[in-house]
Amino acid sequence: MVLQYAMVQYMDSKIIKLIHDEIDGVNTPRESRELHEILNSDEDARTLYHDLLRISDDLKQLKSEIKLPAPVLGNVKEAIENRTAIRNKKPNNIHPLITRVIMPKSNILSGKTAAVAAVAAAVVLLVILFTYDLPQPQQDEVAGTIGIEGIERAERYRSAQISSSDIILENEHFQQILQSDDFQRLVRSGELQELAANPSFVNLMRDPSVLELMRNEHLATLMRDPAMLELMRSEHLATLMRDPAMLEFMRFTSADPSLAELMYSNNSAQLMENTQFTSLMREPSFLVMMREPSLVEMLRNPSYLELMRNETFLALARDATFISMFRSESNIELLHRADVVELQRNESLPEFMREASFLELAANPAFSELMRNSTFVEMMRMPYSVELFRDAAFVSLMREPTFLVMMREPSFVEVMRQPFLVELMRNPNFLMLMRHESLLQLMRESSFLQLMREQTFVSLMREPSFLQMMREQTFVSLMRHSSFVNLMREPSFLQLMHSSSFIELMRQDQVHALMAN
Amino acid sequence: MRKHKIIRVKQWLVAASLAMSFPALAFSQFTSVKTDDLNLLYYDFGHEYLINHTIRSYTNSLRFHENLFDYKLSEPVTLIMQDFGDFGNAGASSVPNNVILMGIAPFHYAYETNPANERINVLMNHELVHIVALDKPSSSDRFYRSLFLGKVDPAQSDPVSVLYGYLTTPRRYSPRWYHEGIAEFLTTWMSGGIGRVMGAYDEMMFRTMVRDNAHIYDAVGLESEGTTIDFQVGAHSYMYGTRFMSYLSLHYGPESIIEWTSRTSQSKRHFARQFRNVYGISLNEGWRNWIEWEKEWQQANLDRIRQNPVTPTRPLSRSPLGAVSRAIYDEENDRIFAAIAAPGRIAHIAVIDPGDLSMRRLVDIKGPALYFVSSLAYDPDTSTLFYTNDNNGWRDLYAVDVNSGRSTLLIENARTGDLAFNRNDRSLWGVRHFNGIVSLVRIPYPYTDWNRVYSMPYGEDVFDIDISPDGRLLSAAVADVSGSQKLVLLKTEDLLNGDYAPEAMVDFAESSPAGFTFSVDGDYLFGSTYYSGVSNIVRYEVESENIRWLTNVETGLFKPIPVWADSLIAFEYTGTGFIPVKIANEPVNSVSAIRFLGQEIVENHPIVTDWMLDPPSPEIIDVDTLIRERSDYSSFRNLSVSSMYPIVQGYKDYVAVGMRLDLSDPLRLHKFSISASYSPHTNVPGSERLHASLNYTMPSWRFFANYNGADFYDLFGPTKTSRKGYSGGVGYNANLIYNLPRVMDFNVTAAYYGGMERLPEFQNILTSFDSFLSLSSRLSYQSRQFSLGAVDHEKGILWELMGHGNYVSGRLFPRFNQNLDYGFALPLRHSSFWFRSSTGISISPRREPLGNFYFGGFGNNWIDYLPSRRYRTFISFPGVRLNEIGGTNYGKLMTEWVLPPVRFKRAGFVNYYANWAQLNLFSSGLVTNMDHQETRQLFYNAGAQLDIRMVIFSILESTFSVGYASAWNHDTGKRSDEFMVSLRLLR
Amino acid sequence: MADENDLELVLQCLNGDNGAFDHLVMRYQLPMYRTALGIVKDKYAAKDIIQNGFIKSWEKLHTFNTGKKFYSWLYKIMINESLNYLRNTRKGEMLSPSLQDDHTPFQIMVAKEESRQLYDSMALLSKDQRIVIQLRHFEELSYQEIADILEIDEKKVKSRLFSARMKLRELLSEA
Repeated sequence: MVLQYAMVQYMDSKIIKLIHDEIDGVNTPRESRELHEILNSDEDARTLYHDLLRISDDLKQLKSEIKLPAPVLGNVKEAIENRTAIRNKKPNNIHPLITRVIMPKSNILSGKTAAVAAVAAAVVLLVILFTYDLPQPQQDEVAGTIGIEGIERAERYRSAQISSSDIILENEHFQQILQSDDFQRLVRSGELQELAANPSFVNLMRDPSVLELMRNEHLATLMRDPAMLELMRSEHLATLMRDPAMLEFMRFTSADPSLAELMYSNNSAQLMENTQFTSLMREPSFLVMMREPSLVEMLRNPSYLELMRNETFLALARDATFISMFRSESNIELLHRADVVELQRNESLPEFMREASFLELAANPAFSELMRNSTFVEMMRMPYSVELFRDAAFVSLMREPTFLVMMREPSFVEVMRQPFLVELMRNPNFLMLMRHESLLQLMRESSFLQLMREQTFVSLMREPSFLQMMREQTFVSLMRHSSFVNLMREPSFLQLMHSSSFIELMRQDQVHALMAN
Repeated sequence: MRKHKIIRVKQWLVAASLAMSFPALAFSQFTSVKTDDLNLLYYDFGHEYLINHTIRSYTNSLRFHENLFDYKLSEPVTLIMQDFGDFGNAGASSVPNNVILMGIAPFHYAYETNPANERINVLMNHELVHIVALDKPSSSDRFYRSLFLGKVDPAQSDPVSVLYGYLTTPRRYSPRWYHEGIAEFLTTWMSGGIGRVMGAYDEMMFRTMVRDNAHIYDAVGLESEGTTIDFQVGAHSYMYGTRFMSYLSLHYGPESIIEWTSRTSQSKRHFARQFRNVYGISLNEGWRNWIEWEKEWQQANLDRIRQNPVTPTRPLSRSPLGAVSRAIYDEENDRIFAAIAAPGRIAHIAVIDPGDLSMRRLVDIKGPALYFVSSLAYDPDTSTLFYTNDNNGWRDLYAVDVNSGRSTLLIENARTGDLAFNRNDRSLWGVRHFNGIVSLVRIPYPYTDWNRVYSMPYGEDVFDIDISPDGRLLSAAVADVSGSQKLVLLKTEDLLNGDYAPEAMVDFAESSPAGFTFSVDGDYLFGSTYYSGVSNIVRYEVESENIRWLTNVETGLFKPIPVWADSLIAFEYTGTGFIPVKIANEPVNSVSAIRFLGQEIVENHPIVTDWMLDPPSPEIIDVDTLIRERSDYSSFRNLSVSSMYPIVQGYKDYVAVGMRLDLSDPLRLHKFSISASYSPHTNVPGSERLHASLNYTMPSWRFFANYNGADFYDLFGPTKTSRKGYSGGVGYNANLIYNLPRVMDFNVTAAYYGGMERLPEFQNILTSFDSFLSLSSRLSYQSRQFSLGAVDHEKGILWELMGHGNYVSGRLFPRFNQNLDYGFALPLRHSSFWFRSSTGISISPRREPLGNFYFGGFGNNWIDYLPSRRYRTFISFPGVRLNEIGGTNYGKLMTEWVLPPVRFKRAGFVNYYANWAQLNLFSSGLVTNMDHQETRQLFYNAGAQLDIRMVIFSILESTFSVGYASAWNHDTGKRSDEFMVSLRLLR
Repeated sequence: MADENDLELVLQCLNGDNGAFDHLVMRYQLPMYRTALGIVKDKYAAKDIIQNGFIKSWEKLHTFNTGKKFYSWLYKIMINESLNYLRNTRKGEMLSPSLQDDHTPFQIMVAKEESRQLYDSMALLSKDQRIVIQLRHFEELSYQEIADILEIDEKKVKSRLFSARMKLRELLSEA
């Protein structure tokens, strides 16, 4: 088909209209005459007219070539007969179960196609349903989907435009606090109002970091705790909130997720109620302590947190020396040591640390040095060490400089490892013994360690008599004698020692003199 | 309860919600979040969680509208998020600035009159249609906007600005049904088919009108009568508008109504002429065709319903009650309690006797909600009925003893409704709305405070709750953000442990499970649903979880009350409100579905399915890239020119011409206007030819100054406010109580006048000096109510205490007076009777003009803008000339009968029609100088005033008044009378 | 078109005689198929579309306004069904070229080179232009009838038709 492409753009629109109308056969006779006059004189118009006429004819030709691929009447008849059958069976309903459950719920096909799909699906399944053998769906599977025989559901196009996953809200959990009646009572009580009237609180609230603090999820959960809200009503919190140090503490603790979770867990509201603790929180030094990761690690143990509620610990924590001990390089270095951290996982330690005795001990400068002593740390890791520390005598022993020196003796650790040590330590005599300068000297002897491995000697040490013996310089010097260890292995000598006469023997001047030479 | 700051902030901010037309009432600290096309303002830290979602929803909707209407915002929209009311709503204006005021509270779902899907997404879709339809300019609109420096908002003081307003935003002058119709139509398809076009309530309303052969209003009658005498008042505009637009879409294609409402250079300025331009027929003709079609459509639906036996219902009251609350049946005394609100009757709780159908009033409802009036619950053991007041604001919880009628306030601003009484432990349960979140709350005896039981995630709304008789179970309807609705059953014990674990759930998909109530034995729940398209009563068996339909009605049944074993009470919808009926407690076998007009549109014009928005989710809209700035909103920093235009004024008896410049911030908290004019006439002395006035209003404060003040209305009539000389002053006003209907205001104004020749307040009184200082203050308290569709207050009290002092050359002339109005409603619909008293005393010499009160005349100018019923003001005394009666002390008493208004079904044309006419008869007595026999004067008068409310250009309401009064002097017997004609422009 | 006879058949069908509807199907299945084919350009889809279209028209027969022409009403249903199909297919994955059957019905049936050129040019027209060309040149409907079917006014029908022909002419001259 070759068409001459006439320059149509500059042709009068009236002529173009006449041409089209002529093609469509809607020109009046006068218009046809007028057009043909134009065509006779205007070649472009003539070309356009012939092109369009040609296209019109070809379209007719194209039309005749289109045939139905297959008859549709059959399918239409079948569909209509089914419907008619169903209609006569009244009620004429589409079981909602089908349209709601079977049809794809999410992107329901648009309008008409959806209707067609629903009809097609319905036709098939209705037949089955009415044979009543389709098992009724389990109650929980489609529990609550309405589906009543005879109740026709109105057809209303609906497509899911928005779902809850599309709605992302900022700190919606904070709303949960605002909705609580406790919080509202706080608002009504005027407490927050007075705070709001307080310039420092208002500046506080404008401080971006505090606002950030308020958005902290953990603080939000804390605020849900009725006790905390009760606290907020107290004058105490108002003053607290006005104190920059306190805010610094809250800002610092809420910035670290782990610490925030720790500090603002459910039961920490009572912590906040404890005026001692909150005043401690104001100590700049305490804040420094709180910055120690190891302390955070230590506090991870809930029982430590419990410790924070302990009056004596809190008193201690305010004690300048303890704080200085705690802040001292050594202690910080101590806190970094793996074994000390390990120590902190010892369940018993917090209990022990609650002992008044420990707290006094901790105030003693020597103690921090003690804490640096691996043997002591080793000892403290012993399960029984807590019982030891409950023993006032032992604790007072620990205050003795000598004890510290003993601690430095590797051998002492060996001793400490002996299972019986606890019992031994509980023995007042042994504790008295431990204070005895002589034992210390003895302990320096390598031989003594061997002695300690002798069960017999250990059992001896339990004897009150042994303490009396130890008071005898002679006996001490006897023990220093290298052979004494061998003697100890002689059953007979042991029997001798157990006998009361041995002590008497030791008391004899002559034996002293003998020993002295 | 100590009035604390947050409540006062609310009061100021409630006034901000009125700031669209009455600015300078509100001040608060807003925070502003700006994008390129939005300035989002919020005032409460508790609303921050919705900000990003609101920005995404706004941007999502705006992009759709920009594409559909080929439209670009002329300026960013200022969007104010507020929580002033317990139920969500929004309003939009584009003159002089684009502003949307959005309430974040959940919607109420009474009768499915509101969509149940996520509401901020819906409100943005809806309100931005208003902005587009109002703001989109044609080339000529753009020209006039540049000429007048903005979109002109007509000013009452310069009514010529109405013309400029029309030239700059012509489509603003269209009826409400036009704007609400296109907005509701598009919102339905943008939300995926959820909205009024698919509204079952809308189908019911028109179906019932066709069944009852009721009058379907034409375009004029709808606005003049339809939206005022029906119990649904203004909501009619939404139904008719959406229905007409839907009809046009079905028959002419949805694109045709876009072409009709979109302002393009080819479109006609006036909405009715553009209708003819698009459809080739007049609007009235198009409307008539729709009504004919509607009758056929509804008849077909009625025929479908009648394919099955229609359930018989026996009325339990002589006439429809109007809007009704959830009703309660008191088994012991065989009586029904229901809060009702109907045109002509102040909303109240009625006690209905189902036996003799008698009805008596128990207690008034203050602030009734449109559809559900109030929330009710009943404790039969103590005969205590719990109910809510202030239902459109922050709901207050009250209790009334049904025997004595004595009511007490339990919890102010409880913000709780949907009440249910747990007889097991005498606790009250309810649904509380706060900060856009819905919480189930429990109010234990003695009901002085509430406890939060469970807060739903945002977007999930709980409503229509009930407690089983044994107190074990709580039933509730729950809607989620997708618009799906379920009936859930929860154990109260689990809830009190903070566990929300529904025992059973029935999925009603898009139709609402409404008003479900436990039977007396707790085995069943009775409720209503539009499942078949018609609201029928259903019975749900708790044990087997089976649902049975009990009715097949033609209109709609709601709010069932299980009363007797074999029958129950429900409320049937009629064209004039709901009527309690008795129905059998007997399942029906089959109910046919009706066809929805919306569904017909989808099937014939599938293009509407393409109008569904993508969800406003972060994957699609990244807010962080949109936000440009976060800062404190300063009204002053946001002041900008809103318009400048030429004006005409009157100065004494001569014409002055000049210009007026207006500036304001988008919230109109700060407004500044300055006008200057010149009187060219030679009779005007040279020094008086130039006139200027300046007004600056901001929250609580007003600053004003005048030089040879001129006034447009001086051109028409006896009353002159133009004065020679100069003056300047400052005014302060404070809102002390704002708990509708109770309002208390205080204002004080100080001004200095110089170069005067007449008293500022009394034009006919010459001054004996030319400059003085004046100080005036006013304290007013009012609690006045009106019923649905009223044109004036129908009962209540108004009390004002005023002080005024003039200070002249070292001497003070103080005056004090007080006004007390008390009125009560008469049995006649919208008729009331009022006593209006006033007394005053001035502490100054009797001869000194400044020290006297002056009375006389109606006070209306031929063309005026002050209130048209000026005869009620204390200085007026119709029948004698202005300022004719003077005195340093006085006593005045007026009695007034306000007759029922006459409403016009159709009086006028689309552009200009009369709404209603009302006649008021009054008579008063005035005595002055009571303490001085020689100068004492006693006057009586009687008169009448007829007011006719008219609407021009669809929204400009004006009042044409004619009055006559006759007055006579008791002492001299001299009689005089006065005629008054006045047209008050721009209500 | 046999309007009066159509109406008679419709009334018979409304009175329960489904056989009358078969006549209507036989009478209009080919023109409806051509129209659907012209829009969706897929013979199998076109067949399904008119099949469903006939079923739907039978279901909604009671809403047919006997004052109008039956075939106009039927065309409207078929065109909407076709547009729906296009819309959903577009929403889904478009028939990728490889999947398209090289031998579309036109190519098989129109052995002549000119007709194939005309067909290819028609495929390049917009959807609205294709519909008015077919209704006018294949079904030989008047402007008013086309306006009724497409629910647009007559002026718009003529302007679409003229622009479609001019476009065809331009495409053919380029081909």
